[in-house]
Amino acid sequence: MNIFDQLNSDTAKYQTRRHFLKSLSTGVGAMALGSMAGCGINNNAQGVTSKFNLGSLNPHFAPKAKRVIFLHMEGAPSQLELFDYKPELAKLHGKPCPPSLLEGKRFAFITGTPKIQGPYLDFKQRGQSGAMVSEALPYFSQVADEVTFLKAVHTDEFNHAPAQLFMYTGGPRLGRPSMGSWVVYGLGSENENLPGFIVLASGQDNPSAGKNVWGSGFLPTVYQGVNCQSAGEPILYLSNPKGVDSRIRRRVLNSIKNLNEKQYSELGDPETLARINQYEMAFKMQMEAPEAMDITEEPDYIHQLYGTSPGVNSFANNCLLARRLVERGVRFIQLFHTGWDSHGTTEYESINHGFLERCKEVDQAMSGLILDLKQRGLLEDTLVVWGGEFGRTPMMENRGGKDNPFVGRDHHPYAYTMWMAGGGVKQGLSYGETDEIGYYGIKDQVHIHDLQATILNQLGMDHEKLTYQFQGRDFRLTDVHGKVVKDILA
Amino acid sequence: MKKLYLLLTSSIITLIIFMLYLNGSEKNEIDFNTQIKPILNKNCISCHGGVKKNGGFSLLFEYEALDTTKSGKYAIIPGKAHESEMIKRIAHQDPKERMPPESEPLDKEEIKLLTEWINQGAKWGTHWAYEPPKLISPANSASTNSASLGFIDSDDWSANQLDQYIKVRLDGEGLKPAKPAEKAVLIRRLYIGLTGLPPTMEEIDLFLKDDSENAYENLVDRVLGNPHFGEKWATVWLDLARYADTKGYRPDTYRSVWMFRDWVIRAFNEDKPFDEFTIEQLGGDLLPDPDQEQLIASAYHRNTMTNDEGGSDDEEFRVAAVIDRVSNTWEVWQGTTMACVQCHSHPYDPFKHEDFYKSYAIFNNTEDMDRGDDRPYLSYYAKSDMEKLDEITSWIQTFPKAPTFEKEATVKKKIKQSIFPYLRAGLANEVRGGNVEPNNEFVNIRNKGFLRFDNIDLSTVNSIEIGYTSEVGGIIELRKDKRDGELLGKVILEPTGDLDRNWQHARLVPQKQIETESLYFVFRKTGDRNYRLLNVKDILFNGKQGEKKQWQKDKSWERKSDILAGINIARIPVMKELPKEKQRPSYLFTRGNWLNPGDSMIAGIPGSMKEFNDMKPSNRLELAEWLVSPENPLTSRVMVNRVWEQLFGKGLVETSEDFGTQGNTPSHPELLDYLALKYMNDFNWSTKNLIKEIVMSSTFRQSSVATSEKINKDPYNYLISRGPRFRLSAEEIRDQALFVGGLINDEIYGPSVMPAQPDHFWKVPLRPHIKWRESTNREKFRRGLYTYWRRSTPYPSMTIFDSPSRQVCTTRRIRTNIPTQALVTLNDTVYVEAAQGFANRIKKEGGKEIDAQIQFALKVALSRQPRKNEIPELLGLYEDALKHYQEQDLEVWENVVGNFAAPNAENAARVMLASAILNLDEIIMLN
Repeated sequence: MNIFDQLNSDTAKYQTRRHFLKSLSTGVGAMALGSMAGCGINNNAQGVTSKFNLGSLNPHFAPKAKRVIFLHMEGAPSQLELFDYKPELAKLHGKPCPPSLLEGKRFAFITGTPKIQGPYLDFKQRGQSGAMVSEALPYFSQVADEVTFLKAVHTDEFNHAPAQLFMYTGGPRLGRPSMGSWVVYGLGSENENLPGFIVLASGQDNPSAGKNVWGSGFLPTVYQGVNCQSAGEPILYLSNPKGVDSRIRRRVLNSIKNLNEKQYSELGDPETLARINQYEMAFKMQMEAPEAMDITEEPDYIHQLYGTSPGVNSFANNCLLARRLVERGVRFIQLFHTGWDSHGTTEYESINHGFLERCKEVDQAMSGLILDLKQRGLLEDTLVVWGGEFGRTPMMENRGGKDNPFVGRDHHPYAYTMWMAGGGVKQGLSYGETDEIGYYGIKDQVHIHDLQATILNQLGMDHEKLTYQFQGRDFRLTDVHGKVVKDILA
Repeated sequence: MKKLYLLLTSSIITLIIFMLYLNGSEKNEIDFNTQIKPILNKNCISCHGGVKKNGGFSLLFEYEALDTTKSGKYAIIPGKAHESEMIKRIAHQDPKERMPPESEPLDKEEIKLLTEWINQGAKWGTHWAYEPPKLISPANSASTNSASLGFIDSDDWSANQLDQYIKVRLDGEGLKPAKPAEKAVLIRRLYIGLTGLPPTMEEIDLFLKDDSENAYENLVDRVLGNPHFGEKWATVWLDLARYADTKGYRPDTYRSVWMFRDWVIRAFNEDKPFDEFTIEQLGGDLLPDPDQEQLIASAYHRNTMTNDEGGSDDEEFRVAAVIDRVSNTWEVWQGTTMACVQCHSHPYDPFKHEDFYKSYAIFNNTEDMDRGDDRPYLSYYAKSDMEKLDEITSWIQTFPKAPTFEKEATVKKKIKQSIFPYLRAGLANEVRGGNVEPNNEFVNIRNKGFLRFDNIDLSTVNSIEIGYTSEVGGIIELRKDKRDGELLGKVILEPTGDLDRNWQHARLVPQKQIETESLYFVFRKTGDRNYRLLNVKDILFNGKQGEKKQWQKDKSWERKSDILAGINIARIPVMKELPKEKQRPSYLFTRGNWLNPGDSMIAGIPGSMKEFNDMKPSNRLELAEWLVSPENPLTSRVMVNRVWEQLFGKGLVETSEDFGTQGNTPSHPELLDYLALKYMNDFNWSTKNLIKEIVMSSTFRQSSVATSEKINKDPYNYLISRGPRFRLSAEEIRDQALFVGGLINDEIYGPSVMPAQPDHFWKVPLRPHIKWRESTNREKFRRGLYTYWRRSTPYPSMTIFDSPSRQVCTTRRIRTNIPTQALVTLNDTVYVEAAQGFANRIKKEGGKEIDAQIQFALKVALSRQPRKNEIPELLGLYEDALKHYQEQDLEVWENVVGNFAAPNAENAARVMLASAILNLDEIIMLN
């Protein structure tokens, strides 16, 4: 019996799916045992096939989507300049906001009575569905028939960090696991050599809420997102030190393996087997990840489709990377593109400058992503989600009671637009409506918890059953709320 | 003596057997806690508990369970199971009527138990953790089953009573304890377990050669006295205190609170009794006439997060901080999870919704309120700096005509100014329109921002030099007493480009030489780039040319003035209670929402805990005194369990964060109680005595070899049938590598440092100038616990090894075993340098022959002699690596060997050898 058979038989002896999760707390490593005990056991020549480092539960029902790409526009883009066309606003432009809309409301920066801001951009109906999309997104206008718009999304939070936490962890404060962590906790990954949950960020900053929006909270750290860079080293500590090539590294690892096997035969601790496996997987990841993260090999027409230029950290490169990663079975990919916080206080943070630039940076790439996934047959079972942490007010911002120097809008949690594509969601649907000035949702509202429930549902998981016990209670992504938005499902 | 003891034990045993015999002839009484409560928790309580009370029926409290339900019927009628609605419903034939609804019926066995329990009178029980600890001898422990009673033989194995509790349980399960661990294994276990660092070569030799009877005990005493002891235990405590160097929420900037870490290290080193340790941290500021150290201790609860994001509501985050203080206190001292009680009554444990807000009222009246500058704070010299300052001032006093110095801290600041006129911008009394960078190194100011220094005497100052970098052109104005006060002078700043480099000095000449109450340095930009700005580092006051003082002519003055320059006033946020007239009313928050206050609340403890004793704590100090009162059943158990968890890898109660009914029950309840009582009473809360008791046991000294019998019967070592074996913590893995590599800087205390970290790891929203600035050579090799802890981006190589973000309290780090960990110890710069240093040590200290060097290397790294086949394996590696590198060139050798030795193939091959040893399972684990 070789050492891996030994591991398998030991594992089978006292590990069950549930037991494994418990064993995380008892010191037996998560990786090897977990991945073998649950999902897709099959023995190859070495006796070990595992799904990277993750233990997982089984789906609750047949999934429509196998993976998710979440395109997050960090800072919150204005729905009123992109998708939610409000001619009434143009008429009211420059007039004081009706007091009824301000009563009892909390804003980040608006004080006193602000003025209405008309749509800054022109809109047209697009495609067969006739969805209204503004002139800022010429490429996206051509794929508008592929998506379902959610026009009346609302959240509980009106500031960036809490709202981002709310979007990804279901609660506004720190400490809970993020959506991607829940998903890999529930489903594991399909690639043994790559992390199951990968995060790619572009733009000038990191998301306001920091790494918490891909953190594992109280779930074991194996489930946290791995932040990869599209420029430089793709995964932290992935490259060998200078002067160490993979031949000599392999030789060093052989000795480590031999000595660790000896250690196991002396002490009999299964943890040692997990460590042996860990080092082997690390080596495989070093082999596979750089290739997976290298977009230079892509043909020209693909680069033209996305508008990519290799070697820089851009949203376009990240979109192309996302496609390469879903092809390789990565379960949850989260893209952040920052710089959408168009208050109108500076050129960078304004609708008439920075916002237009952001649109250019994302338009071709996100549209290219949809087309590319579609032509490869991946869109069917890949769910693409697009949106910000909240929307923007129909009023112009008047920080400190004065007009801002540039065109801008304040944070708006009550109604904004997101869209979804692929993964079992209807095509060419506009779901939900806002009032005539786009302040409140008046029909088919979707709360962030509903959105989360829907995403999990498409992956084959019941959001009420995907739970984890912490501090004496069962937690779930959707807290104690959330309804699947059935009307948008194909 | 021993004979007498044996005699006594055996007669007690006989008595027990007799009693068991008597008991056996009657019907066994059903125990609520162990037999009934688990059934109720699993099947009933989610609908009939603290959250939902369907049908008006709840099983949480006895009085509720025995009351009538909505239907008017009694669910439980003691003594009459068949008239009890509960039994009728769970045994109902019709699935629509049967409980629990829409699920499988309960087991026959479970129904039988519930029926009998009601027939026996439905006696309620208090959860074990809320009962006072009881001293029960090992022979009487519940784990002793009758089979083993016959032969609690002459027990040669047990070294102390602790062992007997373990032994009795092992006997019951038919397991034998493991052999004693080898001395070499033991010394590493002890050193890393108690200090977080491996033993030195001298310590290893001293112990291995010591054949005396007391060799081990003497070793234990030496390790307990080792100054690194406090660092290890502080690391554990800082997870609970959620200590970090930043404020938590965006933009997550620096908070100066490292002196609290020093306080914790010192407290453990000095073995501050745990009751004082508790009182000073929770209520140090409320003690009569608190000293500086007691005020610093009160920073425990100032480690909550604050939010400086523009547009956020200070009150919202003040409330969030108070809520965290409540949850933290209950979890850390009482192993009680209160998070759920924030929104509703506890679903499983005896806590009502209002209980949370009674505690909230205790913590709701401190002055802090999510302010950007973390007020209120204490400004003072850190203890270590104070010592240096004292040394220099007393040296100055040996000169004739020396000034007299006063002891008080604020006065010291003036002294420093008078003998070395230098101020650090980061220590201004106030910074507005800007923020202070890590370790107060410098201040970053926006347009119209200012710095304020109090009590500056300009009467002897000719000019002021300001160290700065700036992105834009601008002016600094010097103003007297107010930000728009009298203009005393100004200086024009030229842009310097990148804010991070190329520090310049601007010279400002005050127009008047006068004393000021406050001195303002106001920045105004003249360039057109908006937002950012200017960094100000140091401010030098150039005095009138005067004759040098006596001591300034001394040879040693140059060095002393350097030391003086490095000493700065430290600042730490502390707790301060609001005066009576300003105290805030407290309310119950409906469904946990602070915008929806309900009934007003009076400070107090949860109703179910009032029975512990007569104390009625209503403020933080009283709460702390209540926590450490001898009648509190939880505090001592929780702390004993925590110490045990550190030494054995898991606690006697595995869920060390939850001693409630949803947590695990203790594996050895009588042992837990025995230690808890001993800790409080015999040891007077001395943690060192407690640790000594544990590590002196035969239990701790067992070998960790797991035989297949043990893997079968005790796979997770719950019974402690063998010695502890578990992975080292993130900090320990790092410290050990630096230690083995001969690089570690083992200085204790002081501010945080920034060791090597991957480029671009820190990207700070809208503040690209906030950068990780790698510390200098010595500083970057300080122990892991001194690593700058930024909550939103904690040090990545440590988080990969499961160190927490410290945003909130972490009672238990869950250990994982993932591939990226291998990448860290193989590729991270810190470990690469450690391997280079280690290779160099091997060559220099290990002897001429490579065999001897390998033998030396194993001893340094693992404290032991080589085992069979190890030398050939590593020799083979060395030879293959040598062959590999002989084919490479100088540049490759330079890269592999680093700055530690001559670049050649032999040295490069030795680095591979060193790296392999640093990555062995055995070194990553405590064995």
